[in-house]
Amino acid sequence: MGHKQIVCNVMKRQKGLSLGVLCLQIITGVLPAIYVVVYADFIDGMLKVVAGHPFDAVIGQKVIAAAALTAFQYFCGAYQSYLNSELQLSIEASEKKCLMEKMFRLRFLDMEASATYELANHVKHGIPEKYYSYYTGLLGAGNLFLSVITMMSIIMKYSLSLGLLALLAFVPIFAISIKGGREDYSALSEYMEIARRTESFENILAGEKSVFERATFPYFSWIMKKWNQSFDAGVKVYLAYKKSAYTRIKIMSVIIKLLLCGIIGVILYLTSEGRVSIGICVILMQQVISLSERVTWDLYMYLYDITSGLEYQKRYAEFYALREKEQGGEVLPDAEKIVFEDVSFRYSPKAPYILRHLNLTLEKGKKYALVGENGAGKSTLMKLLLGFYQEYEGNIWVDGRELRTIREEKSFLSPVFQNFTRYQVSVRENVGMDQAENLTDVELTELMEAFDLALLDRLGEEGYDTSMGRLEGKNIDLSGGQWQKLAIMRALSRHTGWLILDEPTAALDPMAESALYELFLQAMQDKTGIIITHRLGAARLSDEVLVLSDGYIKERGSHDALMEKKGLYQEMFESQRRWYQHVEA
Amino acid sequence: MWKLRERLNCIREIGQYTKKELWIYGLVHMVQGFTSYLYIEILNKLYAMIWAKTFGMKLWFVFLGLVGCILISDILNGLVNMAFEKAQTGIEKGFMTTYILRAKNLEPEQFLQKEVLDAQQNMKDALEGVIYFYMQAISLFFDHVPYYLFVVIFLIRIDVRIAVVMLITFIPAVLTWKLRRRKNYDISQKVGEKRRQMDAYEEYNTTLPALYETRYYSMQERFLERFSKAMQEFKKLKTGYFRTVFGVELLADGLHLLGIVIILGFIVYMVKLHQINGAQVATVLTVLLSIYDSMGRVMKNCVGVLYDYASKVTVVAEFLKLTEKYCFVDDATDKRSFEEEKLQEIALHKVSYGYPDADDFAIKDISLKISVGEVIAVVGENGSGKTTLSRLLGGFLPVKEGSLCVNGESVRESEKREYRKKVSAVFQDFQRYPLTLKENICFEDAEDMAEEAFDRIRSAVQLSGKNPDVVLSKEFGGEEYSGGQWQRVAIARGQYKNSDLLIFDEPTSAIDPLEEVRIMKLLVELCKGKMAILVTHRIGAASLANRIVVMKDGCLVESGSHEELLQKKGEYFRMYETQKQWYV
Repeated sequence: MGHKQIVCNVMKRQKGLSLGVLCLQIITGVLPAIYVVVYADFIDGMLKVVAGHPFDAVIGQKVIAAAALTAFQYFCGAYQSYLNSELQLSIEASEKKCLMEKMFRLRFLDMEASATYELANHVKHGIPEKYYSYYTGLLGAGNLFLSVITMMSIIMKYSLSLGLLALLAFVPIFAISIKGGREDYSALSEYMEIARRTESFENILAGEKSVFERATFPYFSWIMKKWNQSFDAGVKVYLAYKKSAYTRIKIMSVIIKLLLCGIIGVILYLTSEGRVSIGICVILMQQVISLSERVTWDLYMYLYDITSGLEYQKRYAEFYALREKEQGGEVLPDAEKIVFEDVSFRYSPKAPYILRHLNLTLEKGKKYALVGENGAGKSTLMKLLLGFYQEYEGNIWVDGRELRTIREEKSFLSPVFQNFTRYQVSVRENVGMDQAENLTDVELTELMEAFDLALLDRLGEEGYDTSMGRLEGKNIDLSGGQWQKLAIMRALSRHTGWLILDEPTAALDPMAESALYELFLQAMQDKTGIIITHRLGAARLSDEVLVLSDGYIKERGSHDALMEKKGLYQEMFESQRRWYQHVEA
Repeated sequence: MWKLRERLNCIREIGQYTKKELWIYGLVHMVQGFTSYLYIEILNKLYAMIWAKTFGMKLWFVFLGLVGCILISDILNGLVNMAFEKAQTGIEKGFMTTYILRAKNLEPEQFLQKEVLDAQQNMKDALEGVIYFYMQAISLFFDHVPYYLFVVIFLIRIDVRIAVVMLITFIPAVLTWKLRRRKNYDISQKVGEKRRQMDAYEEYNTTLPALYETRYYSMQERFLERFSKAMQEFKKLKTGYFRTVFGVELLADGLHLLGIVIILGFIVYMVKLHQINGAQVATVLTVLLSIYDSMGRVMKNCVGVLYDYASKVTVVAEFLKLTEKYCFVDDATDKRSFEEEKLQEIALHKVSYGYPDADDFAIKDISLKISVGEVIAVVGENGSGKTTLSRLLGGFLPVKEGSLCVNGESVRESEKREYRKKVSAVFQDFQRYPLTLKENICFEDAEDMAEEAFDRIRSAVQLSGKNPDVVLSKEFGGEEYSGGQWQRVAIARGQYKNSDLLIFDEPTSAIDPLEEVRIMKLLVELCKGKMAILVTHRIGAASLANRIVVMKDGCLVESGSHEELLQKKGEYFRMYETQKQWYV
């Protein structure tokens, strides 16, 4: 099943190359037999000359034939290497593209699940090796098979029974090789797990991240012991697996060699009877020996590659079968009212509910603050509003339309993410994103000034088209605070009616963070804004505070109203205010 | 000359742990080489008999010899492989042991230097190359070289000229090898650049959290396009390279073929002159051809690898040299042992410090004293030098100017390691070890710890309900703690170590505002009877300390109690009011 899929994929996407590689393998498969014929002829010719025959044109032809064949062999070898490299490259290019296209069509819910992430990683890391090795392994095995058959047919010419016997003997050998390749593949994964553990100890002992703790706490010799134990355990598993693999291969190869010696013995006997020329005898012996080497070692590797490719294919198929997000829907640049109606949400059927029967109405023009403890679901709420998840219970009405019918992108809400991305593209694109071409220099400068970010003088002749980061040529880099402002500008440049700012990471000190909130709310002016924060001091800036706790909006109202209520919000606020109060007393 | 000596030292240092396995590997290879030679002798005898048409028992006797040779060679092959695996794992262990122990010699500051980090990474990447280097060197000197030597002698015995011909035909092999090497290096820079471009676009389109934004702003197609473009350019570069390699290989093969033609021609020549008999034709032909082929492979795989991987050995030698350069010579005889001394007072006298690879000083001319029982809060904006100050006080960084004094006496850099034994810390980037809860806090002591003793430790940081023997890592089959839970583990860890100085660097950054109060108060409790430094930008929390020190742009601008500083109406007052205004 898997075989067909891989072969089809490779041949379909890399038509010319895969065909070329196939042809070459067929040609080189029959070459050894031809080699025997031509070189045996040459030797016999030489022996005739030794025996007194004059050196004439016929003999000369044999020499030339031998040289020509060798030349052809070398050419095939080099061309094969070239084609193989090209094939591998081509597989890499097309598979990476396919992977990317699939990835950005997946549902976010799936992408966030660690199982999916692992699956995607597994598929990614197998590009292009798994497919490439499978294909070349399969062809290699075929090539070997062809060589064996053609060689045996030469032997059969001289002794039918011997040839047939030899042919039959190779069958069990192939069978053992196949079995061996499969078993070894799974034994390796146990070793890999131990190796990962060993590596984590290495990082603790010598890594950059743990250096200060390493200098403080006296755990070095103890962890070193653990590292030693882990390493040794890994070695044990590894050597055991290698030993069994080599033993199996050796048993097989000894059997083959014995068989071979039998064949050689018979050839010798036939030579003694004069039925086989010396030339044939000599070359045939040599080729049979080299072929046996290939059958023991190369075949094993081919079969290992084939098995590994098949295992990979299972996960590959699993990955490409993942559900994609539904496209389409209406575009809505602004909204008057958003209503959450009995909304419940959890990341997977096994996970606990993050939002529970949440009811909430948001109105245009207001400035909201969404507060709550870490993990209460504030970011989740934001992602729901952005249309990232379709799988929630209940309804979210946007001016009467259900959120699920509205397009995810180009909706009414622009986000400033907590972990916004610092794209290594031009300044203009970093702010304008897909609308970058419509973002004029004038507009950009206006935005920059509003945020006190005077970049233009730092940029060279390319102005706002200078790229950021280190991907190409001239580039500039910004500090963390400057990037944060850029991220807000990114949201603002969309001209959507609603904006939402997810709490900036703890890297900003409280003063800088508060300043940022102020800036953001100012920049919103006539738009509707939501800030997500646990800095309750900043929440005071909003018109209305929404307190998210236990999966629903526990309290809502203006800061003053909530303080009077003396509920959860008041308690949270007081605990933060307490730091600044005792002096007054 | 330096390079050779350093490389030899390096080889010796790494190989010292696996001497036995390496010798065994060499020995087996030697026997294999000899067996291969024996094979040629027997084959020659066989051909001679066939030619002379002596097909009696003697022939079958020789034939049995051949069979024996083939079988022994085969079994040896397996032994060689097993010996290889054993030696390889041994070298890896030696290599990593060296790597780890050398890293131990380094001071924390060195881990902030790009030069050191690059050298360290390079060494780690060189492992595979170093292994191959050892293995190929051994197989070359114990197997191939003796083997070829024997073969040459064998050929000389037949006819000197054949041996000469064979030696001449080595020349193409050497030439082609040199040719291959030259073409190898050129495109790696440009390819590296394309790779980085492709990786970036791939990241934007396939990983979280970047994909949230990419999809939201409809940038996927654009990035896909750019990815494809970079991929195309990458392919072009590589194809160009492959074509060059193909051309080089053809040339190399051409030279190789020339050698073969010379051999064949020579045989023909000798046959014409009747200077060689039939058996010898057969032997010489098969021997020469197969040796010639294997010689080409040996040059490429063995010698070529040796040459290429010698550079890996150099990389390792460089790291070893680096670690020698930086670590302190342990020769001071009157070093202070802080074990006996209880730290009563720690002071910095006019200390300045600048990070390596940085232009300015992070700390300028700071003098500060802390006595037992005091808790000092260090406040300031991001980048003011708070963390650096705490690291200097803890003895983690060397003072560039000025001195660190303990109990009145200045501490030498070589004594810092001893000093650190009396210091404990909860770092801003505390580590999450893939060990159990118990081990994460108590490390080695966890093995013999009584349950009640650990219970006390656990409950002090409110982790009572948690299983102490489960590994705290999902990757290794255990459980995952939240940020707040980990922070408490880190606090317990810092507290568990017996110390006279406690350093807390932003210890509540991952903790909810609601909990912060509780944790901060706990920390102050833990500091009773010791000296403590609390680095924070929560101005409100600073008021819990005995004394507050205000940092700005690397300088200590204000110092005093909370009340005193407020009255001063200086920097502290400004920061305090700015934060307070949100709450009143």
